[in-house]
Amino acid sequence: MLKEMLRNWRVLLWIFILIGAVLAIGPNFSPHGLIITSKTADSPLTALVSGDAIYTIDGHDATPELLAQNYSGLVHIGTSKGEKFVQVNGTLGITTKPVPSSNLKFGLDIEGGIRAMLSLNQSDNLTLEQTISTLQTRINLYGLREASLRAVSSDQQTFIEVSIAGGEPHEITDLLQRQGSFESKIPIVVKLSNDAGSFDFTARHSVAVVDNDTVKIDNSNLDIGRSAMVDGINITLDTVEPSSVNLTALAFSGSDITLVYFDPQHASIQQAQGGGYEWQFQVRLSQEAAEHFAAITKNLEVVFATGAKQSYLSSKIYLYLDNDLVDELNIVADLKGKVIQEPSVTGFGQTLDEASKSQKRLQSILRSGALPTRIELASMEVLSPRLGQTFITNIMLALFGAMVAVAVVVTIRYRRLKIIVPMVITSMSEVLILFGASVAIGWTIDLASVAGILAIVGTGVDAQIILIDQTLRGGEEQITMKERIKRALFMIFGAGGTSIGAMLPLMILGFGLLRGFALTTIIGVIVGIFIARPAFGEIIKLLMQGKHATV
Amino acid sequence: MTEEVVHPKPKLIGFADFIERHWKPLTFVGIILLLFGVGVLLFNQINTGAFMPRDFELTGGKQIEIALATTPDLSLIKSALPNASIELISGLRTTLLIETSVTANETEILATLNGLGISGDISVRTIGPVLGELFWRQTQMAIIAAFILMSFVVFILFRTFAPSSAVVLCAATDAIFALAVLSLMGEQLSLPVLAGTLMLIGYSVDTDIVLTTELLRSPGKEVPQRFRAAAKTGLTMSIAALAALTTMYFISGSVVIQQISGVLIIGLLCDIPSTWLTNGGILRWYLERKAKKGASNA
Repeated sequence: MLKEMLRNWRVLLWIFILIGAVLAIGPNFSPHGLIITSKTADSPLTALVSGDAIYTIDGHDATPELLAQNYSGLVHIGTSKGEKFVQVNGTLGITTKPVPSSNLKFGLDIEGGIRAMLSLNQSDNLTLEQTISTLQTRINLYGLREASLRAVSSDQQTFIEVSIAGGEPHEITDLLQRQGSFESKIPIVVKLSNDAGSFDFTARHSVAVVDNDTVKIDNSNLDIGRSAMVDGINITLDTVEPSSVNLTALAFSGSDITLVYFDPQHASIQQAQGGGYEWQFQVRLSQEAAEHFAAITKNLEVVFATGAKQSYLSSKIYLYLDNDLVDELNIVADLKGKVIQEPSVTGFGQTLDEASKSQKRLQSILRSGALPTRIELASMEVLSPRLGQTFITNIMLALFGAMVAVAVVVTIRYRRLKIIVPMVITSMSEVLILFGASVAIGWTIDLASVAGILAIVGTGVDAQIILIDQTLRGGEEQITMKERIKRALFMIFGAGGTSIGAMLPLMILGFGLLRGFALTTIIGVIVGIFIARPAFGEIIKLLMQGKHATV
Repeated sequence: MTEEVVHPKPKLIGFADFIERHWKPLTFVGIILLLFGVGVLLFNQINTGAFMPRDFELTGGKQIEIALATTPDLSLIKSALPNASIELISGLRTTLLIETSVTANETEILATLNGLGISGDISVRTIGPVLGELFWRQTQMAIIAAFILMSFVVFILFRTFAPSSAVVLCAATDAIFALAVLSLMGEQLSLPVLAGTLMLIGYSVDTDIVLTTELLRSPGKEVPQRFRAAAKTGLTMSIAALAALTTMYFISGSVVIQQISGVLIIGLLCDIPSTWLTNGGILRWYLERKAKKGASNA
């Protein structure tokens, strides 16, 4: 009988695809090593890319702790690309995850991570592309692991879906939601005598008080809060006081920055004297912006700070990101009137980690540039990895429980092991083939897909019951076994077709949760009606014929 | 043949005799279920502007999910968080589900819970109102489109108007009745409930297809015989599915699975009368009429 089964093409196809599925899933029963998920711009591991595995480091088995350590000198690393010797000074600059136990890819809601939907104020194609590429640059520079961005359109609304494995919600919000318009401003105090004074840029400019809210600069009036261009420099009138007029000059903005440095010579973090950590990195300015800086600082006085035992200029430089003050810095006296092309941007963090993150965030935003439009967070999901994993365990138990329940019902009805065993095997095979298909088409299994799998097992059982009943019906009908199986397959195709019909709109319309569900169900139904259930029909037919023969 | 000896006749066949005698009035059972469902959903639509109250994913809001090791005192949490809706999902694990407005601060909520000694693995999902509104529009579109496509497949299968319409009517009854019962139970429409409803449309048609195929395409048998054969298969299918779904409902401890299986359980229970009484009734009426026509033509 087994021979007969193996001669049947439907059964063979089913076995063949089942083996293919198992191979595609590629179960790895003793996974070892770590896979690189991301690299920082300054990582010394130049020969390796994301996805490469690291097995050993200096002769020890690689662990996340070992890979996070600081190294100096030559380091011996065993990788999937062979043995590597790398000169390291500091950390390896990579993030990793364990080598997985199969090729199955799980969604963020199972692996954990952050998923956000950003809505754009403008949604023409160019803006969309620019926004995605700017955000991608920011995320890559920042070194977040496994981030993916994609445009999702629906109902004439366009969103950008961002999925990131790992990261803190607030840092990601800050990284993504920032439009990234950067400005550095220096206040200028113009001393008055008899309601008149002056300041110097490339030329000397007179300032005269008109009233409490207005001054006249050269020949034009400027109200409080308004800006004007003087010698190519944007100035804003802040306040008018009896003895002075307070102006703010824009030294440079994000578009004046031609280069943001990430390398250790130009970017560093130091322990601050009063506790905490101070970070700094240099940026290169355009010639024009550097000259603006010189012109503005000419107007400042040198002040000796007794505490720091150093001379500074009378105004600080203030750094703004999207109009939020991010930092204020003293300017050392030496820089007065100088053309500075590579000024430093500095900041502070309570801990080393915080300092490094805020440094990197600003570096990434400055390097990637400003977004072409304002974006808003339409949704944000912060998903715990452990929650997802316990979910999977529970679902597997639920699935097992459901199978047992079905087996009990079927046993009560048919009371034959010959029917129940193939039924359970067929159902399991449908799940396996479905998982294999997910690897083959590179789709990630999220919670909704798992729910879809449960649904598939249910429709599979329905189909098998139809097949069994049609097959078992003996001579009470005048039609042959072949015709009865044909009729059963008609019902099964019909039932499958309606399921696909019901799910198709979701697959086309929906995104997020339900798309995975719809896709899984549709593929599952196709696998079921074309591969598993016809094979099951043949097996039952042969088993029942065997039964008749032995009775 | 050995078959009849091997499986004893299911007891439901006794009930089948009753159906045999009274199938005409019994046809209206499904119609009553449908009218009841439509009534409830219409009532919701008139009073709230939506046929079912919607959860945070379809309106915008924030959901905090916490996996717990022990079962907490629900009333204590409710009094500590008066502005949130609190639900406890239990199964193999216990999950605390907190739904609140988009603007609520999850850090504060988690701190409050921590004060009550509640902590565990946490997922926070925030859906903005714009996206919620979009999901809602899509939900409505998906349900309508699913029905149209499903009907299309059914009409292609049977190619006759009355039997095909009966199948579609039966699927509509199940879906509408399930949503109506859920809304009466105080459940909200969510994306998993939607997924379950669409799945239900697929599932409930299965038994109708068995019934219709047996009645229309089985040569050489009387209608009651064919009906019995179909019911035997169809009821086994329904009972197996219900057994599986009920097990999953109680074991999983997952919101998504509970919501999906909840809809399916109610829908499949409704499917039994709507298939065997209503759809069966319509088909018998159709066959009788066809037979009469055939006789008068001959």
